[in-house]
Amino acid sequence: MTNPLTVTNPPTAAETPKMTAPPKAKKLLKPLIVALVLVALGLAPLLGASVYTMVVLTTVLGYALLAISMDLVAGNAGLLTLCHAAYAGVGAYASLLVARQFTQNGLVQLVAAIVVAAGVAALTGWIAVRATKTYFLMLSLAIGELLHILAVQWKEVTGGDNGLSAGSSIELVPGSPVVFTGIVYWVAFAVFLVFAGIVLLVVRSPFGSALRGIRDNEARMRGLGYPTPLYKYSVWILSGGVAGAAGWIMTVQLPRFIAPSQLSFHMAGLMLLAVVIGGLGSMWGACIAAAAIVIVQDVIGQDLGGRGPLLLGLLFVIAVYLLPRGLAGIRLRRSKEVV
Amino acid sequence: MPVGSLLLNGIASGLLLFMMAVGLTIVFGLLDVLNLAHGAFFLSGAYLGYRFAGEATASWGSFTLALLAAIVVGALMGGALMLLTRPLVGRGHLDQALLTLGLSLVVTELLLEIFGRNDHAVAAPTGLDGSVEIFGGAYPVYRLAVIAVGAVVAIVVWYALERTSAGALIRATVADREMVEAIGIDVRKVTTVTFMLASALALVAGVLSGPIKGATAGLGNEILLLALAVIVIGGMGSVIGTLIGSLLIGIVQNLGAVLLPQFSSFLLFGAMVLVIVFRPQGLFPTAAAVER
Amino acid sequence: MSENALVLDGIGKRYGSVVAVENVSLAVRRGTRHAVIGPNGAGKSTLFALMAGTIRPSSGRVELLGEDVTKLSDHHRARKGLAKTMQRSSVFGSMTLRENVLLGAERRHGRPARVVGGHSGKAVEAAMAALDQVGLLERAGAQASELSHGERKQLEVALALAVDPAVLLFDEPTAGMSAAETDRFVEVVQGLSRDITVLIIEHDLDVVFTLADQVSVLHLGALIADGRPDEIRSSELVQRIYLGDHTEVNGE
Repeated sequence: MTNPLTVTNPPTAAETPKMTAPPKAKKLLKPLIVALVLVALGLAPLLGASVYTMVVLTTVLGYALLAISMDLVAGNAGLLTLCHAAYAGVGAYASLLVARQFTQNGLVQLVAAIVVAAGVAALTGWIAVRATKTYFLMLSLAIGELLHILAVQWKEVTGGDNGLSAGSSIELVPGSPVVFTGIVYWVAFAVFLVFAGIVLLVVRSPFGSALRGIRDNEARMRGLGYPTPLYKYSVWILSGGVAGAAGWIMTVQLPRFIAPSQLSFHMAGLMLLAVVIGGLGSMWGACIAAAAIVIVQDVIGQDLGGRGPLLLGLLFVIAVYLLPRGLAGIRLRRSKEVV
Repeated sequence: MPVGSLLLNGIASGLLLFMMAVGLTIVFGLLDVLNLAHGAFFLSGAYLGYRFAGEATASWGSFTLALLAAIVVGALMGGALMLLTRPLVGRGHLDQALLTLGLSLVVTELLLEIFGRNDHAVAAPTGLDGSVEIFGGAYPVYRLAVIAVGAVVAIVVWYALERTSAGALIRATVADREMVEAIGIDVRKVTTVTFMLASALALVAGVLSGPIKGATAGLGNEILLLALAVIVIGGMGSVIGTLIGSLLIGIVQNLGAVLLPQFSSFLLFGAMVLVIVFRPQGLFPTAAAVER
Repeated sequence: MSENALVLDGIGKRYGSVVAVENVSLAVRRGTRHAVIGPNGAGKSTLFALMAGTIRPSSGRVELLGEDVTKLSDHHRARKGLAKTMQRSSVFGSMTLRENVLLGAERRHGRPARVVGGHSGKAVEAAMAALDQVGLLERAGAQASELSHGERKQLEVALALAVDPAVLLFDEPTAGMSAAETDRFVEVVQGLSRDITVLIIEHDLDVVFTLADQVSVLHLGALIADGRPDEIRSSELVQRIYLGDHTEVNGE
């Protein structure tokens, strides 16, 4: 393909620019690891995992899906959020309230969690997506805190500081509550896969590319004709729904309990740190970071004499320095081109 | 409780909040970085007060020691934080804010590690631990003392910023950092010193608040959130805005806790949201903020 | 079908008591290459922003392809056929050239809000054609942050071309370019189809007099001259504005 404007001699193989495709083996490594982990997770109940392990793994899946929902907006659209933990909490409250008042049907509870969380995200997100970077962080903090306060103060509905619990296990078939922790785990795992899959598809679509364009240079995207507030708002609502599903997963195992602390600033900050350190734009990284939180806090935490949060904090601080990806990776590239 | 007492409570908490928030807002104006560890600094002060003054009775000596320690430790912590964020300067403001978030976690957990997870009370210095008759009821003398001290601090801060050349330098740096650098002034020194002073102030506020609020695990975050609401509503980087905002919020919180218990916190953060959406520069913006 | 691609009618912009642009009226005929020149502080950047829609005028009207777009935001105007490049090089650093241009191509030729699947064939075709037209096709897989300054400007042109614009606005495109890069840029613009109307805000008067069919001169926010290049070049008023001869301002 010759063009009068281009250089007459096409570059030789030796002169081909820096971008070389990574060797085939390397490219396959990550999907392979991911696949192995997923298979291991799927087979866990059959591999003799204890009830305790099942419950922990379910919690991990819940936090991982929350991290994924945050990565969707933070890593792809550049919207660092401090209120998605609260959206997940809202979803959890919704599903438990449905369990207490209406039905033990797990699917109905899941739908309630998603719809309510997405609805709250829609209500609060419209203003959020029009604010600029630092103000957006503050705004999301305020929104999260408002929801937290609601959870504490609206005692008649949420039970206040005492939290809320649904007495019995979910039902997949009307009238028969699921008895085995392993089966509940599998249902949670399936829900996780579905929503993680949805997010993956969106991230890889033209819509996902547009979001990353907005993250990198919103003014440019507007110049290209993209109605950027609408794009940000749409993904915000979607991520709210996914967070709601995460909230359902977090409270699906007995004792099916939620407390306002799940919607606190502390939790929100922890999750945001996790997502950033996991690497913004990396779903896998977000999952690993979320898993680390659960494991260090709840599992190892006991062995460390309750020093789990301290270890976590130290890990985060170290990671912010050491890890080249995360905010830094994306920002450095962006700042290069501003003359 | 008579409204008058509630009002006094409000002014007392407002002034303590001001001491916390003014450092936060000036540091934001100087560096464009949200120091999310500021709450942990306040908490450190509260625990220092507990450590020196104890829970039951405190001598003037021990309380003063606590205050002095707060100033020193605060300055050191501020300096340390500046050092720790230095490597991230090229990586943007949000990275630095996240770092302070992580440090906040570490500091808070260390404090809980050292002092245990139980709530602790802090004793007021003897002589100030009684009460007087106001508004037809007994009112703690200590809170009146806090109002007095807080007012003095507010005046000193105002004076330092508005009437001294050092203060003018700080205000100039907030308004136009490049210009100040162009004149040849080492902006880093200005910011470091200011940061240290702001941190010291936060710790002092923590010590002073001890006899009122005690030293508890959630105190750091609680006060941080209030301070953030204050600086947003008052106007980021604006000292007057912070003062008015702090007093307003202190009063609303205290009155509201009794009159509208379920709504006062809600109103506060709702107001924060409204301000960010409709008037992001705050109610009393600085001139520089209006440009931003 | 109006004969003017872009019309500014009494456009003004003031910030408080500061007047950035005052009562500017100009018409850019379809298919022409129209340059806007003026010394620093003349209000060129403000005028550019007013045309693109990133700021709203305090007074006056903006017409694009015969339609009043004064109240439309920048992304609305972009969808009506207006494309622009920005003065400070503004591309998507973390993406490859191909991905960069696809963002524009997909918006124009595909379905940019599609939540599943890959890019549409038509968009990919348009994207590659745009890269080819500016001479960056071989570098399609390179990361945008690795480009030289001149290449980045070329990418910006490709981005603009990918949306198949009717009107293309350039904001000081040759600022910071070497002589060779400037020549290449001029070639690219000369190679553009006359279906595209081009308006260039430019400092380099050599470029202006090579490319432009029509030149408008801005000074202190007001339009002081508007005519053919030779008229402008020989105008005493314009020469006085530029303090003598144009070589002083050439190449900054």
